[in-house]
Amino acid sequence: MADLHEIAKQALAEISNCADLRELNEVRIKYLGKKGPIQEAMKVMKDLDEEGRKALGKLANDTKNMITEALEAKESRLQEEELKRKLEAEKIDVTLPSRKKPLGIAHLTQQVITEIEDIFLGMGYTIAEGPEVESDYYNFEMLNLPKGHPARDMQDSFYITEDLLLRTHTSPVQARTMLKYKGQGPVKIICPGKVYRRDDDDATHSHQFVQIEGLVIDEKITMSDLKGTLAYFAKKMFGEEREIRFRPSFFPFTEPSVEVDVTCAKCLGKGCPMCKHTGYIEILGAGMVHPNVLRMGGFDPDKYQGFAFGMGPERIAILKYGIDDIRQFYTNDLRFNHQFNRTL
Amino acid sequence: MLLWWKWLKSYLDLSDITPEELATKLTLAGIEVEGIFKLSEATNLVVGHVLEKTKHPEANKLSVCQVDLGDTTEQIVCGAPNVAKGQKVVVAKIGAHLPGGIKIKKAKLRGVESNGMICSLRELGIENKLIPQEFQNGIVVLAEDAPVGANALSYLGFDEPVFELSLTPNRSDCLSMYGLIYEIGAILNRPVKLDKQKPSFTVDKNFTVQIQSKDCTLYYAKKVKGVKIRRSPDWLQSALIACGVRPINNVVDITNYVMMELGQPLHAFDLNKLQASQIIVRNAHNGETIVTLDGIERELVDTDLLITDGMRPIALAGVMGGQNTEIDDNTTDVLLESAVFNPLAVRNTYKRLGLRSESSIRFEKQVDPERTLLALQRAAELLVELADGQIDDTLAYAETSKKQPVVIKLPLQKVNDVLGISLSKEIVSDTLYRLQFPYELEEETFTVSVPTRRNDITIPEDLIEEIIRIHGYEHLELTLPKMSTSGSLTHKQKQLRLIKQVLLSSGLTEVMTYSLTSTALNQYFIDKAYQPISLRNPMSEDRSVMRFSLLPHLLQVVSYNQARKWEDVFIFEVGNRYYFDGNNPKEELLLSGALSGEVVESQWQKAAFKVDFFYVKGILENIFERLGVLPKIKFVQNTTPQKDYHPGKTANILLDGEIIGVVGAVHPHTINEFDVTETYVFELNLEPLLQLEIETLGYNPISKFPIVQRDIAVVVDKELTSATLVSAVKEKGKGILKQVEVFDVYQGEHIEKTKKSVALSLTFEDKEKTLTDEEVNAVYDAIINHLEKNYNAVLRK
Repeated sequence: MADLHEIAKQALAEISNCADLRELNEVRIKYLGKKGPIQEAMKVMKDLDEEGRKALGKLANDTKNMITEALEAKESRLQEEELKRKLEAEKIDVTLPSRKKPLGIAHLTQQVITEIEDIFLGMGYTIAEGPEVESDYYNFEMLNLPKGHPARDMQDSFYITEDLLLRTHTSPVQARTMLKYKGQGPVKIICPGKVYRRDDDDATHSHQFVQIEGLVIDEKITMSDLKGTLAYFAKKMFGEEREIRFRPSFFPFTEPSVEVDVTCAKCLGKGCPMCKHTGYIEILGAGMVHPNVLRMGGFDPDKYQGFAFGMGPERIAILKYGIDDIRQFYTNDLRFNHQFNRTL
Repeated sequence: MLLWWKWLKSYLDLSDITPEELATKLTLAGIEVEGIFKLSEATNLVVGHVLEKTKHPEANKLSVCQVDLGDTTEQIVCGAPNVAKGQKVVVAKIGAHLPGGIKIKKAKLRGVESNGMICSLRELGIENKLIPQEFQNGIVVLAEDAPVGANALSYLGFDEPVFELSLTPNRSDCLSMYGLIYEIGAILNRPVKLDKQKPSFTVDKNFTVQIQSKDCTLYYAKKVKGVKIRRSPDWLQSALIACGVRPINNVVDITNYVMMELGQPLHAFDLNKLQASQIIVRNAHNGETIVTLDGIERELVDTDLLITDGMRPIALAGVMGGQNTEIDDNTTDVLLESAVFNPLAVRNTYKRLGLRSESSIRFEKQVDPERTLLALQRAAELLVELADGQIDDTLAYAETSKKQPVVIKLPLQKVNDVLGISLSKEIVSDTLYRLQFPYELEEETFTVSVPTRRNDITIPEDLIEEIIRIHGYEHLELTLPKMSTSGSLTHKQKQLRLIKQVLLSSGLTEVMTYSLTSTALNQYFIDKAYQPISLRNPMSEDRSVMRFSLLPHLLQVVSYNQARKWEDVFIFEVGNRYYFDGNNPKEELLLSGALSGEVVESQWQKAAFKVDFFYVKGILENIFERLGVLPKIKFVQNTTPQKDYHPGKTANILLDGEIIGVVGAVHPHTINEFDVTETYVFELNLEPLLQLEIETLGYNPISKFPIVQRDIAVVVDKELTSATLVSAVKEKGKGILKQVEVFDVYQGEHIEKTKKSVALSLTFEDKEKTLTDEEVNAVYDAIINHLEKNYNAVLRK
């Protein structure tokens, strides 16, 4: 009997000394195998009486269970240790460069257009589009610029035929939209698009650029509505702290007409070198729709009033990012394009 | 337009305002001041009197002068050929600074001491084009009565600021001092007194004026006899230089001065060169010629307006005088012209002949007929004063129509309806008063008589602008339109944004290139013969025609970047193609892309692969899938593509059987011509894609039963396309074949040269029950049978 106690003690000691699973397996075979000491000790069973057999049997069983438990516990511990070693060996340098497919970047002008579109969509505007190859009638005449009008010189044009030209502004889209509404307000649109002027390309001029114009017509639209709208836009576009001011100007299609300045990003109106000490930077032109334009567009100027405005997304990007050459927008040097990989 | 402070302050009290403050006020009232400059930034200049002039002993071209500077007399060496004893000159004293960083010091010139410098106008900083002919190559000589020792710049007025005004095209009234004085008086709210009395006259019995054209409505001619041609006085020359006009001689200068003052251009003829005592204003005959003052013979058309003496043309009305009646040094009798010409006629003539001048731009923008006679009289009086001319009270004139003054009824309500604020009657009255617009107020309505000088004001809205700009735009409120509209993108606009999103997430960067291109570039990548939209007046051949395809410019972008070591270029552009369809211009929205180089996911992991056809095809399929049109799309091999595509690696893209685009490798020739590395491109016509009605997306319940997968490999003819094979398999799918994928294509060892092995993975599924082997085998066998029988396929075991 004492034998089994001794065996158990010895086995537990050996188990605890095992360094790895292989050794542990050897211990298992040594003690629990058919030729192991427990089996050996059981050989005396046949010489015992029933009581003795029962007692020995129980003891042998208990011993086996004790050893098995110890083996299992040890095995699980060793497995854990082995996994830990494996994981340690698998360690990587997480600071190495990632693996990724580079994302593309929207063109800066398009980013600005989308931003402006979203602001006006939020204010209940829809987006109207129209042709770039336009007739003189829509581009000029419907906008109160009859043939021979000196103000046509403000927009030197690329002509295709006597009557066709590349639109010099997106205003013809407004004219076309007005006709579509057949004299029934309200109209509330913006029209983004490419426009063309017969200018030599240099750092500040481009024969092609983008414009976004807006048009609102209804029975009681006022110039204060125009100012409120543009003030809201300027805050959304440039920041809550920015204010606008109106300066009188002239456009044949609006009366009164204004240039709209926004307070300088740097000095907020106090005056600094960036704004040439004026405190303001010009961002767009606007005005109340000229009664002639309303009339030609099919709206009764005695019943309807409206406002219109126009701005250049490239110019806005130039102001926002301090870009020094408008040609960059069309060169597509990817070292330029890829700088604008986030908004703001 | 240039505005000289010195001239302005002779009319308006400006003692309490600085030029900068005035500039800000003008700009905010719509007269934009682009800049303020001084005619000369020089210092320490005095009027000197040349007492003695002797030759320099060592240098032929130098003179040694003794110059009285008021407090001292200094010896000054001068190199100007025109220096002479007795002259009044501008002297830069020791310590003076001249523009260009020049500092005057005591000096010895070839051994002779010199204590200062006698200056030319150029040395003072005056532009060459403004310097009178006689002083071009020498010092400026002042009038005899110039006060010796006085500050020379103050004497000339060159120390007074000049405003550079950027006028809007409607404000022609501000092209004169009178106009600006009214304007500035209104802005500053201070009274303006201008002599507006029309002179009286009697009709000249010995001279007649006839108008025979509708393009002239008023013509005055007045004789001034016995004039002496000479230099104008210094104050007049300074005024002209400050206004950007070069002084010539007293007669010409006076006409220019009055034009600057009153806005009415004048012309002076040499009376004795007229061949008859008459002026006839008429249109030119086609082909008629006149030699203008600049000595050039001009061929005329019948829209040109001529001034003639009844015998021959003597001036191009409002544009330029004729050489045959030019004022010269021997002129004694002058005929002064002051007239009103049709703006359009003057504009057409000066534009055609390229003769833009101070005179023509004023006629083009309409002169004020109320000042025509006034200007004539003013010039005649100046000729008496400054050229010893003799006048009487006669003049000749003709008038064919009178301009009716504009009267506008303006209800106060209208003002406030447009502006969205509540201005009182008093405020409106006050601004009208400041503007000097006569008005009557009855009930709540103003009846305004617009002065003829303000030809830009014709409708109530014009008056409303005047009122608010003088009152101040800061008085507007910030309100939003009260209307209920909802803002949303159209289906087309939404789809376009989506397409761009897919492309951006696929690693393509968006570019924008010019719509105008060259005829040469327009030959590339065109899928059919388009009729070009060409400019009549291009700036250059490079930008002379509207593009048919976006791809030539995209390849230029690839080339530009690869030349700068940005090798892997993945770009796209959305933009129009333009062409004529008969007489109608057509624009089609295209989506085009170019991909060149490797997609590098990780350098150190060597995770990079070259872009190939299938990579680009995959991006396009992603777009079609997102748009919901993938099932309607087919990629079809195009073995005879347009010349710029690789004939073996190009596919047409079909939407419902119609070609909407092309994707493929760029042909090696084109690769060379654009100097790029291997590049894949695509170009889609977005119009049919974006117009397509998309079926609404429905939900498909997910099967509860397991799928069964079977792989097969078949050897088929090399030319059999994968699409054909896959659809042949699907044909026999009997409702349980859910998906077919090609997972291997093999040619080479163990396969005949004309054959290829294609391996397909088949997925079976039944939504109602678990599939049995028998069910799957039946379909599988049917498929194999079909392939073997109809596609000459051999099953690989």
